Amino acid sequence: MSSRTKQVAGERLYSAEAELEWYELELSKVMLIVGLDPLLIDSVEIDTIIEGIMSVFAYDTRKYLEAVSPEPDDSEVLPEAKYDAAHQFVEFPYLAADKINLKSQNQLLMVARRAWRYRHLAKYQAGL
Amino acid sequence: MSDEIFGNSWAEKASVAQRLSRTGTEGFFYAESEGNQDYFQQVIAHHLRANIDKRAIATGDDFEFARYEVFENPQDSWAEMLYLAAASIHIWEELVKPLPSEAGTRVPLEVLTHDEVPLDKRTQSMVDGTCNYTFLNETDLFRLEEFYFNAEYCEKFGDIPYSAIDFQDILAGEADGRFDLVKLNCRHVISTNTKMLGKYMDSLKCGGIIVINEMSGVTKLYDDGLRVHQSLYYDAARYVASREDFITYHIPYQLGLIVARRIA
Repeated sequence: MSSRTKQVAGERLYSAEAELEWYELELSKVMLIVGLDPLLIDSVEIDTIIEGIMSVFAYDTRKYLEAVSPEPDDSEVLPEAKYDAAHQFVEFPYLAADKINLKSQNQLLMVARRAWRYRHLAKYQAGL
Repeated sequence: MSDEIFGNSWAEKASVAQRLSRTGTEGFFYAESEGNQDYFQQVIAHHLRANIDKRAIATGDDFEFARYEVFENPQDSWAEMLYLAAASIHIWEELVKPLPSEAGTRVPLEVLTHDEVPLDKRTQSMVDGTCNYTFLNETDLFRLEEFYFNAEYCEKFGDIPYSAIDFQDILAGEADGRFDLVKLNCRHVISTNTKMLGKYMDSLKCGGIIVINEMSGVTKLYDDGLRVHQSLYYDAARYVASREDFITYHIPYQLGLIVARRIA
């Protein structure tokens, strides 16, 4: 959906469907990272995603980077080959050229938790 | 709780700053608008109906939704702190938009933003022709339309013009070069990479300003200079500072504020 301008008084512009699509993509991306099939997005629990992040990315991921360089560069932490393989699960219309340059488990936990909650809200607001 | 996080001196500074400011309204944030209290109550009720998962594993230490309960009934020094958080964002718009007396003779300010908390001053800018607002299509906009614009309280403003845009369209480049001012919250820079943040910056015209608030992780960014790069928001802040087409200032007030201007 393109950007839109209110035409008449009282018209509402919020689109739950567009927000839902966005956060499903965000959550799918996290699911791919931890090896979960995004097609299971409707049945997976946040507990499983969070535990997956905790197991894939040790909390001290940065310690390795610090040992290499006190200032981490922008290279990818997640091996690109693994990410590309995970892409086979689903097509990403907006993320085709996307690269992940995660620096911390903490960051990914926040992405997952926020995508989870906003997806939930968007579904509710869409009446789903 | 606020004193434990920010320290007494922060609350005192916020209180003094509020007394020494002249914002053109009596309270700017709370006292100006009895509608705001109704708004917060309705948002909280909405969250209850939606049955948001509030377990620790689903929320971590995220303040995202708990903030509305604080907004509804701010105690101790929260009111002053929330005032300062809102003012630190709103000030940039006040400084660069046309004066109300110039409406119709100067081009309105094009603003891309979200809206966690309705501000009557912002609504006034939307109706007096000094700003054209485009809201990100997210739950913030749902709340704004459902519980604020739609409220009897807002009838005094008449028709409130604004636009909306989807995240997907910003990422696709549809907003590139369109805005004079982009106002975001730390939430919008949390991602697996800096691609979306880059597109927010691309959406500015040359000369435009991006303001990103709450970038300190509630002071954590400033707690230990040697480990600053471990902060949740460090990568995003570093990305903004790395853009050669912007001049960037990181302002280390407790909540953390980034202000950057596009120069090329």
